[in-house]
Amino acid sequence: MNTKLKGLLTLLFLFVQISFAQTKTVTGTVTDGSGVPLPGVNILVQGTASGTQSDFDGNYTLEAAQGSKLAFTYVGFAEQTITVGNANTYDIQMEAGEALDAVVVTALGIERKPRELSYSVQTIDDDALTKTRNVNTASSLVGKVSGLQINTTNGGVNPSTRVVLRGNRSLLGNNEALVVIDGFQSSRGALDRINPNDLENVSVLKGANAAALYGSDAANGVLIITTKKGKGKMNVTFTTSSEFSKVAYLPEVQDQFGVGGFPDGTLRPLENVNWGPRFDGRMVNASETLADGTALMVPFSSIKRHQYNFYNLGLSLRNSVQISSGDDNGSYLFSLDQTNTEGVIPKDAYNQTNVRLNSTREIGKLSLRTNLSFFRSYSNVVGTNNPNSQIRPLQWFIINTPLHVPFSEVKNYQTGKYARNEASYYRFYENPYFVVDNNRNMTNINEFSFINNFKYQFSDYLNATLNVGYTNYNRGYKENHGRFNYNFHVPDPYAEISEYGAQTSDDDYISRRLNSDFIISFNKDIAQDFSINANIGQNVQVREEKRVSVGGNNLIIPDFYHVSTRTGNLNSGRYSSAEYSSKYRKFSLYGDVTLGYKDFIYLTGSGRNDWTSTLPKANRSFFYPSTGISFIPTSAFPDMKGILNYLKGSFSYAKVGNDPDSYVTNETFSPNVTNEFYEGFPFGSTAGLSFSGRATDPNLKPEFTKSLEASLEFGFLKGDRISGSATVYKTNTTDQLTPISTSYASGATEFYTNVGEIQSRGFEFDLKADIFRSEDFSWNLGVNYSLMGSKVISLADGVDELEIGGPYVDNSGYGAVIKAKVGEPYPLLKTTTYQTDDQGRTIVGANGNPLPASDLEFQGKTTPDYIVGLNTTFKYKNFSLYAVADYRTGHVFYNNLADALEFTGLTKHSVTSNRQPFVFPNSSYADGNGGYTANTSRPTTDGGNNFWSTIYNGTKSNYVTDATVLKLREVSLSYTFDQNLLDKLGLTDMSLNIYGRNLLMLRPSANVYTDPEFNFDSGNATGFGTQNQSPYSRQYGLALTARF
Amino acid sequence: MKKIYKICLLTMALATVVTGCTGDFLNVNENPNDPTVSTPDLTLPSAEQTFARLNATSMTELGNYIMYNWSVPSNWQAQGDLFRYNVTTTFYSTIFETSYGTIFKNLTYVKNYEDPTGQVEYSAYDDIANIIEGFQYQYLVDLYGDVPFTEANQRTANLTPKYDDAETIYKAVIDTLTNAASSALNLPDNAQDPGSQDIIFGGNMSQWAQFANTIKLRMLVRLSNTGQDSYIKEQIASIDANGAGYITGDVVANPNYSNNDDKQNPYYSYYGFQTSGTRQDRNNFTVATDYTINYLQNTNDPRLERLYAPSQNADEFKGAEQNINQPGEGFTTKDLSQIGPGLLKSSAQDQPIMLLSEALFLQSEAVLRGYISGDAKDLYQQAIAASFQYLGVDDTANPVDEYYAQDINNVSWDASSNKYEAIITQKWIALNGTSSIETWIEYTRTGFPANLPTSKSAVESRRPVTLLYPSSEYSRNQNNVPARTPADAFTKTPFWK
Repeated sequence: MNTKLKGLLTLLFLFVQISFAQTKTVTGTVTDGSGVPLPGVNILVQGTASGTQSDFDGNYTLEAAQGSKLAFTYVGFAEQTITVGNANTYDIQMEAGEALDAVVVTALGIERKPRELSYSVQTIDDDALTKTRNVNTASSLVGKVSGLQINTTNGGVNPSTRVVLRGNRSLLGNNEALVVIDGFQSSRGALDRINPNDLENVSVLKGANAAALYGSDAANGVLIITTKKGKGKMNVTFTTSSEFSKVAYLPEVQDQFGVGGFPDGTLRPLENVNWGPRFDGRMVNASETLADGTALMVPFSSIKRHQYNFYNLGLSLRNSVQISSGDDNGSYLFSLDQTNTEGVIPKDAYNQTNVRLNSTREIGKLSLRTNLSFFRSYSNVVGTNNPNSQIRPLQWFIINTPLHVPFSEVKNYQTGKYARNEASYYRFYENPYFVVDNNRNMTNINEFSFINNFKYQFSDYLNATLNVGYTNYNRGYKENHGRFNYNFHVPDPYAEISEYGAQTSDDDYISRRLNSDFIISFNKDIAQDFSINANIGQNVQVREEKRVSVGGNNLIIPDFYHVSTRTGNLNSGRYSSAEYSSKYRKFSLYGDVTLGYKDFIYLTGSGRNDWTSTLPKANRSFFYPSTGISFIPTSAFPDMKGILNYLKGSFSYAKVGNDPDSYVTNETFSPNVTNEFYEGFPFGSTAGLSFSGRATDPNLKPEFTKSLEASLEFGFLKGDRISGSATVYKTNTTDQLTPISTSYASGATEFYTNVGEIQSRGFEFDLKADIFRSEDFSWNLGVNYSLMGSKVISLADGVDELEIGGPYVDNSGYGAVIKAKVGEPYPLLKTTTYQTDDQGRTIVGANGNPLPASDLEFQGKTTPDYIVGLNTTFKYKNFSLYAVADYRTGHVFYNNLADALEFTGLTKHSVTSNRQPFVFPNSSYADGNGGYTANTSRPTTDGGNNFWSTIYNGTKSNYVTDATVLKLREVSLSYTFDQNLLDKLGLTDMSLNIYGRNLLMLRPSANVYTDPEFNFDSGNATGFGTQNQSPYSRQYGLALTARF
Repeated sequence: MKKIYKICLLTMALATVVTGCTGDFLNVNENPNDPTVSTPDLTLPSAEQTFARLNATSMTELGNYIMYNWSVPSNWQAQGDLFRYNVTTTFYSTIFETSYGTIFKNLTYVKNYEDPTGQVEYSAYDDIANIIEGFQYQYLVDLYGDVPFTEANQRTANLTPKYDDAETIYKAVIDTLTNAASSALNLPDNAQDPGSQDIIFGGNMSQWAQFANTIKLRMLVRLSNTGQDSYIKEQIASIDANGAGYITGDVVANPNYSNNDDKQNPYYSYYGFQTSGTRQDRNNFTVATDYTINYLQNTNDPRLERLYAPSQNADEFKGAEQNINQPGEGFTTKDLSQIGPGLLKSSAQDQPIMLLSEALFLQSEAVLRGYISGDAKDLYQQAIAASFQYLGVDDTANPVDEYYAQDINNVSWDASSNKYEAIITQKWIALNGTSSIETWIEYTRTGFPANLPTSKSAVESRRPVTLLYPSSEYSRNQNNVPARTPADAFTKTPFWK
């Protein structure tokens, strides 16, 4: 990989070379073994920084002094060296060699050959990221690299993701990988926002080993993103795509029984719960009876694909243009990318614009690079309903529309005779169309980034770099909730939702980051066989954030959403505090050295010292080292080459220190928030301050992750047609910076301290194979496998479990939560469950109903045992077919959507006994003598509402579901137009691409409800789905790319 | 090569200079969002408010459902755990968790606070903190049995406090109350007056002493079955000795409740209405039981229309049995009686902590048991009158006299065959919707009111007698929390039973 980058660099250095050597012009053609011209071969004048790249027809031209050596390198071919003699033309025939010798970008933008690295780095090039035109760059990394787990936590127009490398290391702290863009440490969200067309490549540094030089932020691995630079004659690339989204995999529901149920199976046409009789087609009311005695009448029978009818066909249009040019003196690249999306949920819309200007300039020994980027997005999506009502997401209102009520008939909630709110079917919850119209969340994001890089080349082996970046991120959020009122009342309503007023809240959030690195690099062959590469550097980081939020209730003018037109007090909107700000600062010194002997053994050592603002003064400075070795037997003993073409073994050890968030060492008081209530001080003139439940440790220390890694990289056959790597690793994170949950009786509910240890171990295997390669047809296959497990070694004394999170942690009575437990993998799902006897049978009471156990029990871990990713490309002449799939298994998740469906009587299992009492499967009851008798005779009290939505639903272990899933993530078929045609059109390149994303999802039969990947948020508490999600959708698109 | 050394040297020098400056550069870790200090006058109201809220919400709800005063209509699915007596480690765990995690936490801060200048004398705050703690510890012991006490609330000094014996805690609390009452009555001259920052008595320390005496009386009456009459009488003597007597009015909290979001009376906002006047969901799903409506009707009790509201549909008083599965017709919210105007008065209403009627019933029983001197019948009738007054029964026609003049068992003192039963049954009516948790505990102690039905949805027709320790204790304090089984909720009676 990465010849482009190297070529580009050699280009940059050309100027330097010209200025001090007596040279002449050397030309020639580079071909492969069969005489086919090779474009893009790197040609370097050895011992200098000057070089070039062969053009499309394999031709090259460069300036070189007589007697100098030219090195020709190309992926998959052995390096060739010639000495410039009297001749001016040198044609070179490359021989297939080792594929793994191209450079990769490692920490701090330092380029290394993989053979020099004692840890695993993998690279994904731009091509693989843009195949299916994913708006979200993070999602397009799925399935492409081992050890990388990306969860899309929600569907919708602007999905958010969670990106974790090698599993979780921290209990409650950040586990997500660091994102570095052009040497600038960015916020995690930047990966969701960057324009994938701008990417040159993404290097994935998986472990702490790879990342010691980035410091504490890199303990979770690093994604190093390099953006493109302009090159060649001025060229313009234009890409346009149209994409459709269609809802798929909505929950499967029972379609036998309809509305009603009180007291037992009675038909109640205006009920929202389906505990009534079987659908029989009789005509029933689907609205209240109006004063004129009429009502909407519909057949009592289930509508096919009922829920699907609510959703629209989503449409996304995307256009991008990229202008690029570059020569020896400088380059520029300008890109503009614009996406407009209409979601599958009516009225949901999203648009985003990315603008980038990358420019470089060479002035003597000084190189300058400036990258400016601007991101803007606007999303307008449906929110939950009015907080004065039950706070529920849209999905809830849809599943509370029974199967016999056609969405088409209830749409007009404003003026429809039977559909209007006064009369409509919706007696308990709002009409989903009302929700769509009246509850809107609008987010405006503006992000401006400026990255400036100065590099001064003192000599061919010494340079200094200053890399300074600054980002300003601004997010404006407005949340509106419409008024619900009645203009009249029907004479004898079955039920009525209470009226409520409109609300609004507004908040503005700004964050600023400054990152500066100053590095001096030394790179020289110090003796015949010895090379040395050393860097020392210094880093400064400054981060600041500020948020202000306001809210107002009972707005006096409907549809005018401003906090000033309200009654009552101004409140702090969606946050507990109207004002928030924070500051973070860090200063670091670091260095690393790599010593090489010949080209087959390399030793590396690095060290870094951080000074952070967030630890107590005595502990704010901390040092951590790393070391590693790599050995390439195939270079050391050339005789062993045969079928095995390349072999590298490496071993490394690294330690990384981590600091806490700002202010965790402060014990504070707050006027309004206590343990679970919002106390609302001040009350008039009465002020109050409540002590924080979080106790803090005045001697807080940094947290350390120690990581051991051993890996083998190999290439088989000529040109490394089969290549790959296998890695084992072990990391131990000790002195975790964690607010540990403590006994309420201690008077502190949390203690923020250094506590406990987590160990993660894993095995990763990546394999790439050119299975078939000929002029017309080729087939490549890539497989990656990640086995991973983390274990909680210890927590605080006397504390066995730690709450990680869950959407209902404030409601301890809910009965399902994500936890960590000593001696167990992490995270774990813990729920309420039934009492069981010694044979594992569920114990039923005298009335035949299963008895709940008194305490919650663990149900399994929520991260997979292993992930397998597959990607493959078939090429036939001008056609190329590309597909990515991944499979995850060995974990469970909490199926909150099925839990919600239980209430409405829509779950599949609720009809298994035909709504009649039944003997609870595999159950027993106490025989009165301390033993248990198999239950064959005590049926449950009920087989309808009373049983399922109360007794069964009260035991949350019923919703723990196998999270195994196989997904076909991306498929793309592209056609590249013939050169002949392009010449006529005056184009350099043109291709047409038909693609699909999320085409297939295979799940265990028990999960007919949801995508197990969805989560209530993107934090550490993975494995907890919610009703609050946009449905899973498939995308199909068509893209045209033209370059001229 | 010289050049390189110079550059290296320069860099190191630069690094050293920058490192030297890092001290100031890094000193930005003072939290700008929340203050790191408070004083007793700021933290006491917070503790008092949470104390009022916990009693007004979870504790009242639990008591009123277990004591069969409230039910749920057919059009709502709610309170299933209450109907099933599904007492687990997550069932009303907030009573334990909020008591320690919020109320005691803040009160302990108040007690531990020492004025850095030494100018302010905070003993009035300490006394108030001790009295509120005494009130709440009594309920924790009554509801849970052994609980953390001697090692509780020490924060990082002891994150896993041990559990102390229930009876030992009771007696320690009684001693604390004795001392707090006496201290409150003999404050140093320079003691700071909490004034309006005390949202219960406005800094009136003799009222705090009365309240301490009354809590102590409640605890002593609770011990009546334990054969410790001499201890009880000894303690009564110390109450008499401080001379403050018992409370003479309803003990209520009110920091300045108003009809604004988050500023409403906690009971009113929990069971009643939003600031816009919209009914809360809980208001819509909380209705009267058939038994209680019938009981009040059969005894011609005018408090009926104060405790419950006539149904929205038929303007009649109607209740539903406690059953997850209500009958089909006529049992929706609008068909049934909801919470009445005597309980839901206004968003600014005072929040009861202990009603005068409760104190009078306690005194009546104490007289009957020979602990204190007085007229048991008179105290009983005064207690009923105080209840009428709190609930706002129209007193133009002297309804109280009329009520207890009726020749009905457990209404008229004279007509009551068992005076204890009359007192406890009347207490059940008087504390309906306010200190209902007390009526459940008194039921456990006495078995009154007799013949009170149990929920139709319960697995067995017996009422729980205790709560199980919260799930959080089993995961965070597992070496100390006593083991419990689901059956313990029905069999493990308090030590004083």
